[in-house]
Amino acid sequence: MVEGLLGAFISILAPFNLILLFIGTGLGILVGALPGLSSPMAIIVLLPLTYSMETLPAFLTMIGVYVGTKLGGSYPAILLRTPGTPAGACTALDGYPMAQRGEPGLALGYATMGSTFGGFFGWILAVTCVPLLSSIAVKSSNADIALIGILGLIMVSAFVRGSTLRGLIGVVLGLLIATVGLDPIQTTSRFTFGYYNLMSGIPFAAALVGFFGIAVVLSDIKMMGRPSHLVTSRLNLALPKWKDLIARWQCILIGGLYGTGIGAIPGVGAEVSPWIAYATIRNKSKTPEQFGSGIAEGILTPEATNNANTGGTMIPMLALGIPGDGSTAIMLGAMVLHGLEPGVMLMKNSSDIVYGILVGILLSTFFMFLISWQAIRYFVLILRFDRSWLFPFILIFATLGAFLTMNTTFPVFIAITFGLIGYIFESRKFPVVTVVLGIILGPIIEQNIRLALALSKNDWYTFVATWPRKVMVAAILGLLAYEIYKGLTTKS
Amino acid sequence: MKRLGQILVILITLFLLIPIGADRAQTEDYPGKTIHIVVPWKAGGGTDAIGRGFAEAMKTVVDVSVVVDNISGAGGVTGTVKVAKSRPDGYTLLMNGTTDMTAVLTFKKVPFSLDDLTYIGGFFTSPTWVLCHKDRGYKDLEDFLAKAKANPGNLTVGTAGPAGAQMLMASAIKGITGADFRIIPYSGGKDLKKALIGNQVYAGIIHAPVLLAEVKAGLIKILGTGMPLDKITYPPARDIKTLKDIGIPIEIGITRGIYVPKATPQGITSRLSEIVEKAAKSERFKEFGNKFGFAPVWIPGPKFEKQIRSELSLFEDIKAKHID
Repeated sequence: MVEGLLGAFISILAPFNLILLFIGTGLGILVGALPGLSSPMAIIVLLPLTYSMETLPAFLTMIGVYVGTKLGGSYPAILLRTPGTPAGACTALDGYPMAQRGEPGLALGYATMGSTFGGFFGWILAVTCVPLLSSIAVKSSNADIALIGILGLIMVSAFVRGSTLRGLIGVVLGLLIATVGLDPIQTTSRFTFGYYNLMSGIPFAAALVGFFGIAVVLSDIKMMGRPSHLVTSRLNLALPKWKDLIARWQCILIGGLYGTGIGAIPGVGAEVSPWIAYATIRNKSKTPEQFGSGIAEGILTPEATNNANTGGTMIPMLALGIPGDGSTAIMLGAMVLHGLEPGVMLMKNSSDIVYGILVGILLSTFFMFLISWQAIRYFVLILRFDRSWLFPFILIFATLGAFLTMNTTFPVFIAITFGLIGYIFESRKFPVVTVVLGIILGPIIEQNIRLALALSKNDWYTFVATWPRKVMVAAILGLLAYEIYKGLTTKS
Repeated sequence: MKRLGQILVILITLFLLIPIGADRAQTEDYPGKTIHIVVPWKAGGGTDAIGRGFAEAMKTVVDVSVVVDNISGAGGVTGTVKVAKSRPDGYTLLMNGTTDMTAVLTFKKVPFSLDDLTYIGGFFTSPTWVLCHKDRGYKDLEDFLAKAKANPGNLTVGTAGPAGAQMLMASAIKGITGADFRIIPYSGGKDLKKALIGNQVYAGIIHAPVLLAEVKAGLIKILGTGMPLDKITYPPARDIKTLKDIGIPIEIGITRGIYVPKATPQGITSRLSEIVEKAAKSERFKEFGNKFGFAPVWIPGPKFEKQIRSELSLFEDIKAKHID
């Protein structure tokens, strides 16, 4: 493992790679800072640009954006009370009051330090877990993988923001979309209507472009021409003192643990974990009433959680090929475009890329700190501009990205269709990420259930034949039972 | 009104994006511009690697540049149809494996047939082989089949896909020898690879040289092969018995070759055949073959067409006799 990491460090230290990672991080902060633009969307926009690059630099650029957006989302949350990303919403609770009190620089300073330490914390956990989990996962059989997929889907629908019912509807819709194409065992055509392009199913990379690129632009059209009111336009970052940070070590520890742990659960990640960490810290505090009035703990905790997520989502993505959130879903799609095979064999076959991505997270977190420390005022300036001029460019790059997934126009039409579907979904408060996970995990689950049954001569006992499987089945049933119980009791 | 205008601008941008590409046909001075080799699979697979290796070799033969376009989707059908319907000017070539086309024609109704193409030539043949984990301890394919007969319905054979040459080969072996093993269709080579390395199936059928590195390392054993392995770069594997050697009268292996649309003028196809033959025999391509696992071959167009047509009738025969 150490050799792998050191090797990756050496290959990343080429100037071109470092520049790309740096630019990616800066771009990520910018994208995160602009409300309405998100990290999956930025990665989609980058797809056509990274397509012709070598594999490692391409992923370094994407990783930079991914890490950068996590911090960037806190800028407008603190200065405008409009979070730049859904995950930044929690930071606004204490960040905005602190900025109003006349300390916007310090609020941003706490956000920067929280993100940086959270990022390092998540990285340490990811670096330990990925090789460990992959060495176990390589031995997994079809029944195990099917159960992991089902558990992931149940968790998504249970923990996603909003209601479990909406989450479940989203997941099932995703599963339905995933049934289009040839049956994986009998090769019967399903819902292809004789159209041969649909034989291998709805191309999920194109659907992602629609959901995270085109749909976002469609929903943001209504924000066009709205000026933003900053708390203040002139500010400098004021880094908090070391003793103030050390006194609040619990925030970073809890945030880091929650961020990494929840981030590692497929589909749940970024949006919920800051709130859970925030609530935990508030409950532990001797003065919970001060939360929301602009105290440092309220900024440090969500931001640490936020960036620890980046490490957390890498664990299932790199070890199992299962995405933790929208951004990692697109990165998995990009892996296929670059000729990698995401899944349990990735670590065995392409360990250089796995370690490269991990080292990229670490360096990008460091770059993020540097950029925020030295150049924050330029990013804040941009917050005052109308960002609608960006939309045509996003659409152009999203369309190019869709085209490149197959080099035909078919995925472009899929992207446009799913852009409209995604827009309707988001405007009705259905979390799109549940549909996406349904689409991605659906074929994995179906194929593996059927293979497991084929191998066991159609004996369903195979799904509880080993201890890990028993635990997973118990977790699935327990979660379902809990959700049903909660649904029944809250109604009466 | 302003809102409406904004929406309109976005819609117009959307539709302007739908790309339109057209090349002027040029029949004299062939080849005078960039040649596109369409590989109907995603970048990164075996066919793609061979296509890229061949494009490099072609560049040493012609003065123009040669690029690979991966037009994937629908099990290779999208790219194949795209070439069959492209301008027949010799600048858009298809590079695909024989069984990739014949298997899909056997199993599915698809919008192309073997008559839509002109066959320039085949240059890379890899047999389909039968492998197992070393811990299974089978001596060879006959040993495995004997064990399968002794334990009807208990042994499993994985294939890299439910509707490919591997599936047909497994069904034919099962039908002809009467060995009662269960066929497990994995979704593609990578899943079968994992199952073989993890020893989750008794044996697996996949195109050579997949898993050659594991064979060299002693982890995976070759049980048998659909065609002679005489061109393989790993000498100990060269005398593995073929299906014919053990009394199963079929030959299965994949040959990668170049195809152009049917209507391509004779002048261009004959010039192209010369180019492709030179590239197939070039030092550059030999080097690639050494790295990849097999020495290149050269099968001229007419012979290549005959081979692929007899392969299709063999497949249809297997499907009719042993699958339906």
